[in-house]
Amino acid sequence: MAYSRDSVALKGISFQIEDGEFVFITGPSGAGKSSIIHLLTCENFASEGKLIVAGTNLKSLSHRQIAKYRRKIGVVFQDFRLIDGMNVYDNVAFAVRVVGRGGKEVRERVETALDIVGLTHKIYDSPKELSGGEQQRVALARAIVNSPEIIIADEPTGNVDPVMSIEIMKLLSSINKNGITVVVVTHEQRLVKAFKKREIRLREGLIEFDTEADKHQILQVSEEEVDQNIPPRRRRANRTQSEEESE
Amino acid sequence: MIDRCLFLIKSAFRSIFNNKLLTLGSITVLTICLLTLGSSVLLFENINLFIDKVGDESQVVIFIDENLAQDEINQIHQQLLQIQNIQDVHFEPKERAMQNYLESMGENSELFSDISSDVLRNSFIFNIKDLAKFDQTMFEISKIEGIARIRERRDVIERIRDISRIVLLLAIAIITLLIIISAMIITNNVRTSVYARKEEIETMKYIGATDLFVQTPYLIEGIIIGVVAGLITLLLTFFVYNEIISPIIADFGLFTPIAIKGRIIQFALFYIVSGAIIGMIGSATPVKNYVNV
Repeated sequence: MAYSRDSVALKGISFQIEDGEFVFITGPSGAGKSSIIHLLTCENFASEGKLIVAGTNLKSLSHRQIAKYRRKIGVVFQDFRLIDGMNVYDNVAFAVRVVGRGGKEVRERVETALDIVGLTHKIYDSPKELSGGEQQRVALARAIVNSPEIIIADEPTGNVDPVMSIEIMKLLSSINKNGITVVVVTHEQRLVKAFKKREIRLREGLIEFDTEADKHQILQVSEEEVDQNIPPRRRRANRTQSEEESE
Repeated sequence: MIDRCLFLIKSAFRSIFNNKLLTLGSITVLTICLLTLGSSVLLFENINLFIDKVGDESQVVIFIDENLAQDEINQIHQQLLQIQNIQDVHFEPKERAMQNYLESMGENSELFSDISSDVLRNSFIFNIKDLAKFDQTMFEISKIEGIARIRERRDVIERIRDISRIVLLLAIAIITLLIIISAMIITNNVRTSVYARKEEIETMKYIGATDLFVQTPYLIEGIIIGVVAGLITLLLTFFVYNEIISPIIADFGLFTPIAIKGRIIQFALFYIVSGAIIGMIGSATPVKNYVNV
């Protein structure tokens, strides 16, 4: 995946996540973690190769189909992204209304989701009145309210205290036990070690290691191969850059 | 479906109340634009009225051959009445014409008092209804037998016709310009409001909302702002025009300004529909830039 001719974020990596798996994607800054999130949420598209999520080839999606695909996934952001003008109920209900549901079903689904994250008592509070941990739990309720096939969490514990971080991870873990695939992008090794789940570690756009590599077919393309796969114009730009560096 | 519509309308109102200052700004700007637009329309209507009035007063005089008998003069009168584009036809005998002439001389009238009215001719005086058909009407009149001479202010009439044309073109240009400026100002204002909610729009998109679902509350918001601005403008127009502008025009005594009291529905429709359309276009344009995530 490339942002520009000179900026290749993910260099020909390939991995597979099974239904119902819990996977941590880790790595230092600039490793390509956020790029994977951008690809999974269709914010960006792979410049080459294939990305199939929940049976959908993301590369062939039209603008309209992207909205439908996003309803199959639940996204949790580091900065919660709750809508300030809506209370807790409306923030979660919004996701239900987006998929065309209405009436009683909205209330039932919202109450169930808030029950799972333990926030039924804060149903009419404004997000501003909640702590960071509580806000993230509301975001989690919003992510699960439509029973998605996958939860994608981008640094979900980045803005919460250590105790709440464990709580959030426990919640994600229990959601996973119900059969929902969970992909957590994090740089917190403490959590990764504590939860003992599969870890795919990235470094400079390549997979450094995958803890369950033996169970999955891992295809790692060498940097030379990546270079060969980059279209001529981009390759020229890369060569110029490396020549400049050697000079 | 009803639940969905109610939710979208509720979202629009929520957005209005959560962004009170920006909403107030949009309503103010739109009201000023609509007021300028409405005032321009009224101004041009009054200018047209004035031009028509001046046109009405451009009388045409036809002088009758002095050898005609009264029967023949009556016949000319009948023929004139049959021409559709003329009005207020009246006969002026040569004696009356002389009297008018002497009156117009004022203190010097005595110098002409011994001149006989026989030096003058009997005449018919009338006004032209539609100045655009002036040439055609003059052609019809020229076909009547017994007319010695026609006196018409062709130059004045042609100038009035030119002014009418310029005023019309100017009105179209200024009104078009005002509509464009209004839409641009509203777009800019809403762009600020939408930028403040950029993250909210992005979040909605990440949840799986379609472009239309995200845009609809903003469109409703634009329509509400437009309707409110339209109603405020309606009240302001009635107050400003009836209480300030109309009395000033009337004081000049040139003509009676057009009355808008009986046109409340026409003005209400004009302001509310224009406001809603400008508000809707102004809202839709900036939101479109942020839904592509």
